[in-house]
This record gives sequence, structure tokens and C-alpha cells, in this order.
Amino acid sequence: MPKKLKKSVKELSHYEQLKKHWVKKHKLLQRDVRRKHRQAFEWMGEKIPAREHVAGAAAGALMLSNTLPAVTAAVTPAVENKEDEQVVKVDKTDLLLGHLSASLPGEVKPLTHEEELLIGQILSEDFGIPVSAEYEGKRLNRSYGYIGAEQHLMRFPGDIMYSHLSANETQDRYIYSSGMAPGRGAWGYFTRSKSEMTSLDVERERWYLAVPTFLAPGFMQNVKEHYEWFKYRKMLVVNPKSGQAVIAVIGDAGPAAWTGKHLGGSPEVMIALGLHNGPRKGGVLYFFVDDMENKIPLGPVRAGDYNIKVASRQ
Amino acid sequence: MKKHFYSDLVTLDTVVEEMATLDLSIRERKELEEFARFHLHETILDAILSELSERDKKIFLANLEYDTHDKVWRHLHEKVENVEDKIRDAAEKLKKELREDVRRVKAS
Repeated sequence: MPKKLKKSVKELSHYEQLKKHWVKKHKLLQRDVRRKHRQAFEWMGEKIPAREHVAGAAAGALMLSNTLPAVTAAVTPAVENKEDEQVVKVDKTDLLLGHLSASLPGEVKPLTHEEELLIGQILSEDFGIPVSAEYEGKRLNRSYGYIGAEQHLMRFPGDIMYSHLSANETQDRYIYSSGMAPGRGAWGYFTRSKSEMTSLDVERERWYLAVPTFLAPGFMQNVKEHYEWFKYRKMLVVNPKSGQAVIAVIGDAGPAAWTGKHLGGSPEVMIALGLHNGPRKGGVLYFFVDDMENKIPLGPVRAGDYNIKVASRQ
Repeated sequence: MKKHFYSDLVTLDTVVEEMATLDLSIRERKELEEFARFHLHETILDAILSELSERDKKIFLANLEYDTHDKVWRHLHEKVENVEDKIRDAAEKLKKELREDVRRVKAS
């Protein structure tokens, strides 16, 4: 699609002009205040115990909003924008990091029920995407854990690295050196043959997660139902240290408990999370996305990119 | 709308009145009012923090975080001379800027 030309000031409505100016102004102001009083804000993020924030999910959320006001209402709904409307998105990564640093436990560990509710609400509001740790009565064994790097998966019988990657991707050392897993994913091939492969199949393999579905509560009581429910289920994965995030699907089962990792990500997922260098491992939040209408595409996402209606924290 | 510890001291009425002269839908006006409130909140935080020592900044933020307005005011009255005036001054300066922004947009 050709890139839309920016409208001149004359063409912008009063609302568009003022919003554009105030979005910029707000970002600058917020950045200056955080920078000027950095020590105090950092202290607050570290020292106010997370458990006090979540004494009640609603109360905790209310407290967070006092020093870190949200800007949800000010974000233009990117998924609803009209063809000729200039989209003004607010990068809310700083806001997200402030909320998470004040609410997450100091170490990567399973979240309590109240923490999951609060973190789910924070992610929903800051990303503008409805997410939750439990969805349609299903959940994983945890929602905060270490992700590790996985290999590419074969999309169809005979898929090899040469055909798997585009010319550009072949040039990326990390993408190429990750290699191809020798076996199929937990749900088999993504498609029956190369000729039948759709762009959706390509995207699903590119942005796949391996999660321990076998450890999900209730899995052993109804394996078939869980197996079908988890297949290609959409999740939001967030690196709480950097705010980098990705929308991905469950495409494989794993990793084994002994690996010390709680889930795995495709090479592309690890890049999107900024965890592809060094140990190729890091703590992430992973929550189910409520996207019944399939409006949210797979791939990297930034806090503030969407404004899909979510329940308010206040 | 959330009530902040300074809500009885400053309002955005004059900015809202100025915005009424623009061609805005109800949703658009509410959204812009929300932005004005964010500006006000940040501006007041900055004005207060700039008057406090590093130690008192932390006490202030903690009181604010726990939403205890009485504690916030007690602490501020102890540490900042004429704190209400300082909050009003910062708010008035911001409101003037915001009203000018609105007028500029109207004139464009």
C-alpha cells in the first residue's frame, strides 16, 4: 500500500491539530519531569512493594494512576481509523515500564492471582489490546517466566532453510544460524505442501511460541479439548525490562522443565523482544489476547499502538 | 474523573471554555480535556518535586501513590512554603499556554 501523504495544517480539523500538538507536548513534558526527578521516580518503582499495589487489584491500579497518569483516552484507534484520517499514535512504552516496574515482583516467578489480574489490566490498557492470563477458562501453568530461543519449524514436508527464508532473512546471521528443528511442531506441519501455503501459515511459523501446554491446569483431564484450544492461540509477549513486545501464536509445545526455561520463541520472536543476543533468554510476561475478530496482526507491537476497548482500571 | 489532592485548588474551566469555541464533537472535546488534565498533573508534580529535597520527593511520591490526600498536604505544608500558591501559579501558567494553543488552532 502506498504511504499516505501527511495532511497540511490547513487540512487538519481543530481536533486533529490540537491533539497532534498536545500529544507531542505531553510526551516532552512527561520525559522532562521523569528525567529531572529520575532518582525519586526510580526509587518509587523499586521500593513500593508490589504486594501493596495488589492488596486489591482495583486499589492497586488506582494507586498507580496517581503518579503515572494513563493516556488511553488520547490514543487514536489505529484499527478503526478511516482511510483518510491521519493516525496519531502515542508511544506509551515509558508509561508501560513505569507501571510494570511498580507492580512486578523483583524476580521472575509465577504471579499470584491478584498480580495476574493487575498486570493483565496494565497490559490491556497500555497496549490497548484486551489480554488476560486466563481466557475462556484455559490458562498456562504461569504467565511470567523465562523465554528461550527456539529454532525455525518446518512449515510443510521438505521445508528447508534455503526455501524457508527470504533473501533478506538469509543475510541475518541470527535468523539463519538458528537453524531448523529436526521434527515437526506439536501440531504437525503448518500446511500440507508448499503450493498450499498461505501468508497466514508463513506468519504463524514466523511468530510462534512453544509453551508447556502439557502443564496447563486440567490438560490431562481433557487432552483433546486443550490440544485444540491451544493450537495457534494468540498471545501478547512482553519483555518487562525494555517494553519490547510481540503478538505471537502458540505453535509448539515445550520446553521441558529441566531446561530452566518456561516457554520458547521463534528466532523472529526473540529479536522482537530484544532477547536474541547473549544468553538468548530472558524474563517475559505472556498473556492471552482476546481477538475474536482477528483484527490484531502477528509481529512486533508497541504500547500505544492500539486502542481496542478494554475495561478501565479506574 | 479522578479527584487529585489538588482538585479543589485548581480547575481547567478556562481552558474548557476556550475549547468550546472550537469545532469539536463531544468525544473529541472529552479526549482533549483528558489531555489537558494530563498536562496539569505533570505540571503540578514537577512544580512540587522541584521544591523538595531528594528525601522529601520520595515521601511525597509515596503519599501520592497511596492516595492519602491528608498526608500529602500535611507533608507539603511542612516542607514547602506557600505550597498552594506555587501549585496555583504553575497551573495558571500552564492554563495560559493551553488557552493560547486553542486560540492558535482556532485562528489557523
